[in-house]
Amino acid sequence: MTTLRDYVDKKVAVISCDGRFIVGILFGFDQAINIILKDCEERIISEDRSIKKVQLDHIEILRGDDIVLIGEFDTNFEDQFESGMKTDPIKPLVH
Amino acid sequence: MLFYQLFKSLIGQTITIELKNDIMITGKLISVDQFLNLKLSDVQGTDPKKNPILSSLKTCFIRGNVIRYVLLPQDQIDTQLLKESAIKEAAKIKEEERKMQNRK
Repeated sequence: MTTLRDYVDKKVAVISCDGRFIVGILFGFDQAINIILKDCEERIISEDRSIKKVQLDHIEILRGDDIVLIGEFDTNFEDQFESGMKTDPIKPLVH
Repeated sequence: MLFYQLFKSLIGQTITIELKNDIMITGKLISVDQFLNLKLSDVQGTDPKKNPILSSLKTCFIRGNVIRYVLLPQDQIDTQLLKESAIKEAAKIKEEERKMQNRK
């Protein structure tokens, strides 16, 4: 069974269906991959500006339907984000 | 169930996945479940120039419903066996449907 159990209490990056990139600590999940994130921040990716960090001061519950990908976030990569990386934004999902 | 079994037999192989938002990811398959959610390790964007943020992930979990294509290593798959299994599976489903209708 593929579960998110080994991601709990770790820093994860989530890509949502509309192309948003959210980094936070995984607090909980269920079988439909609805997830609870705490201490989360959105990284706004744009091609002409460096990546902007927006702190979200609330606990975030993301519905499973809206999730594309959940990855274990490598904190060593943080420096590259800070260094003003510019890249194309993630496209929204098209079914 | 057939595709679940197929993916299960591919655990440990390197596969490439194209998502419905045009992201291409290459990684080693760690696990799969009945929804065909996949878990990959050693994740990399297939084109590192396109989505460099993907290299910030060590392992990742992909929800089955967002996958468009899966590119599999050809030498790891017995296509003849897959074809036969697909026919068998289809026949099994048909048989079950027939039984259900007889019951009505």
